[in-house]
Amino acid sequence: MEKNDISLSLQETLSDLSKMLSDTAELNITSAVICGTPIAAVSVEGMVSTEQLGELVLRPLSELSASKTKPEKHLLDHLTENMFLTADRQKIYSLDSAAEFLFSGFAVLFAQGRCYGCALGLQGFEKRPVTAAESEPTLMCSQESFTEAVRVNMSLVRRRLKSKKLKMELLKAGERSDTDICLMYMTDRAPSDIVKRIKDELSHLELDTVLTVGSFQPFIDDSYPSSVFSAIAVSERPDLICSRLNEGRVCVMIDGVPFAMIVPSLFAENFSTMDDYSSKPYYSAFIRWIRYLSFFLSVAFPGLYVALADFHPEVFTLKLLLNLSVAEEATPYPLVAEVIMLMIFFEIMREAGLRLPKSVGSAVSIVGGLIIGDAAVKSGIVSAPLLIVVGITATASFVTPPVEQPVAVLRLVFILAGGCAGLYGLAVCFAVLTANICAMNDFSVSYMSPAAPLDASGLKDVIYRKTYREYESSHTKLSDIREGTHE
Amino acid sequence: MNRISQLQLFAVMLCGHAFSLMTFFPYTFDNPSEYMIGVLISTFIEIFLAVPAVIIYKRFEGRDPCSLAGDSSRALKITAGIFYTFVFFYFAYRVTGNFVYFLDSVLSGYFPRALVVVSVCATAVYLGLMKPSVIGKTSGIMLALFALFTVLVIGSSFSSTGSGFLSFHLASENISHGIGEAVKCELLRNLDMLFLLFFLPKLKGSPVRVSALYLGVKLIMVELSVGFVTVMLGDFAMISKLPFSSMASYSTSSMIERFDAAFMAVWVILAIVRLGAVFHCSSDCIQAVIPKADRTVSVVISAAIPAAAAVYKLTNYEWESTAYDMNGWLITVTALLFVPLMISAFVLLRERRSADVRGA
Repeated sequence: MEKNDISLSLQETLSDLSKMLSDTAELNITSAVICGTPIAAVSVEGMVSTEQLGELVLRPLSELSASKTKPEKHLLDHLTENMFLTADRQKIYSLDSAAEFLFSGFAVLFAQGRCYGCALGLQGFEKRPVTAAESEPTLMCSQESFTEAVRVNMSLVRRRLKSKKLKMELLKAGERSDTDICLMYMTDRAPSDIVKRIKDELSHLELDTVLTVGSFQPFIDDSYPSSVFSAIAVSERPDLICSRLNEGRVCVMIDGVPFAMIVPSLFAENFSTMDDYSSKPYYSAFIRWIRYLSFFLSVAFPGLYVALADFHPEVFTLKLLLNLSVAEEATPYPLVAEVIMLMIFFEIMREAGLRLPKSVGSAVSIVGGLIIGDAAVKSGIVSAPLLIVVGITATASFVTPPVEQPVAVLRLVFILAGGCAGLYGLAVCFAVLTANICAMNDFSVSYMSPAAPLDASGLKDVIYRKTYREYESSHTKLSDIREGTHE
Repeated sequence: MNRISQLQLFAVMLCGHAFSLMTFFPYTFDNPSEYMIGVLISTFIEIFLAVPAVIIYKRFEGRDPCSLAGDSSRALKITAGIFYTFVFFYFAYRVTGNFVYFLDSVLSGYFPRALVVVSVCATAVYLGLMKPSVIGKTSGIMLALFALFTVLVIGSSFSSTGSGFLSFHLASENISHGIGEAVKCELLRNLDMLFLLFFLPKLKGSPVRVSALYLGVKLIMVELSVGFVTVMLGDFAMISKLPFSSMASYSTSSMIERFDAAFMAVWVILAIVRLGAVFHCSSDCIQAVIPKADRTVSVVISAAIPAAAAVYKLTNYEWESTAYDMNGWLITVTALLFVPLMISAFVLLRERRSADVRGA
């Protein structure tokens, strides 16, 4: 039961509220005497729409004051029971609730002689408009992406998925930030234990603030500390979220973050995009295999090159081997050192391009890629074939953005392994990586599914893109790939 | 997650056998044909070796031999635990030693043997620490990789077979002796059937299907592989180290011919999977003897003791005789047939006695 600490005296209530909020400067209090009753509208600067406040609240109040008929009830009772004012309206009985509503963009009315307030939804804070997806662009799909306002994001999903089974729950997390978290799932498809687990974790979250997806991820991702990959995907695309919700996944959105988490996700999903479902299956399958190849190249190509050149040169044809040999002879460092140096340099450039303003970012790639690369080869620090290898690797890594973080680290591990022990080292690394990925089993869903454990029907959608006729006959559902009970 | 499916267990067992197959063909007989006949006969014998697993599954609701022995007495459980621990030590010792010894033919100049042992065992320990389903899933992926490479090498070598079919002959001083030796060799190389017994409590499905699938596919795989290698390499097949790599280097496809090292990589992965499964089962046995033993410690012990023994033999350059010594086939038969049957008999006897006491 909520503690009632709103005083009958308006002055006392306003003073208590102000004191509770550390006399914060952004508190706007508009007081007046309407029909003989002192009343105050409290709001937070920049959080409410002043236009709506004037039009929907202050104007009706002024008109009421100007009219000769005095309400039979107390003014606040009259306002809450006999007038519409705003669509979102709630009675509140404590100053804590008042503060919560105020900081969520509500205006709160208090009146002399009543120990409750009336919160009116008049949100009008500045927010970024819905723009095109930047991290997951598509050619033939929706161009909308999530914004920072969770309610806007909810509407973006609801607009696409009008099913009555889609449930959106608003929860709070963060002891100080009191962040709105939206939990979305299809009631008939999402496993109830996954929903319960997420809710439990959220309710037990003791973090002061929840400002990024990363702050909540470790609490629901069981393989978080033990694997380089993550069983929780993140997307800024409402259409992708709808597609995953329809499969029975649970999505979590955090207010202030323009991304939604998909719980759980699969390894194979890193290689599919919404565009695949707009193209014909043959092209989607072709482009998917290009992505698989790119993933392989981005992880293993430099390591493979080092391993083959250093330990198994018989793989190259004589002409190529001689060219490589001549190029490497001219450089002062061992091949493995050269590759690591170049890969680290590439990561520096990528990070610089990412952090700098876009206008300067392109300059970084010109300076880094063209000028330094060319100079490095001409001065004999690195060989030209190696620059080609690094260039291919870098380009391939741009094809699969969802896995770029693990790939950046794994690539270095593979280079070291290839440099130390050739193909033997790479094989050992591959075995460890495979075992590591196979061990990911968040929420009883194998991350390697449908390849391991083998699900022939699901595997079709990994090898090629199923046709819509096939989707008609069998929709992919999370329950199809879940292994028994949660352990 | 803790349980292993039929296909996954099949993959674990077949990966193990594929490793043996890729390592070498035992050359204790005069020609490959004797070996192929021996494989066929040994497969029929192996059907009987699968019987105890089926009995345990049907009569005792799928228990591993050690925990089943515990139903009879604590002493029997410890005895069984010690016996199987040593069997798995022997298994791991052979796999580790063979792996390092034959790796020399492709990586000798670069890597000290001890370092190879440490690296491969450390990786296998990591896998051995995983749950059975993870070992199963990893094996499944590796098996797919092995199948892909095998199809590639066989496909690319097919046109270069020429008159190689003449290599199938039975010119031998003593055919029956040769076939007998081949049966023994194949039985020893089939220690992987122990996984059937030890993954039984965690198996989702029937051991009958797993063993039938395994024995069938194994027979086809071995016969086809030996056949192709024989066609390609003739009598040389039986003395070639890493016959798949040798076959690749004989390929008419210049791509496959150059990438024989890739087969070595697949072979390395299969070794890791096999060792991982061995360490996992071995740690189960250690825990049966010492119930308080930590999982990690028992897996590390399962790796360290056989690895140390293998390193000792390898550094003294005495491994070749061990690798080609096929007298250990009795261990396979004892561990798969006699001991489980004895344990089952003891447990049944005890159950009958208890029933008699209750009846009295």
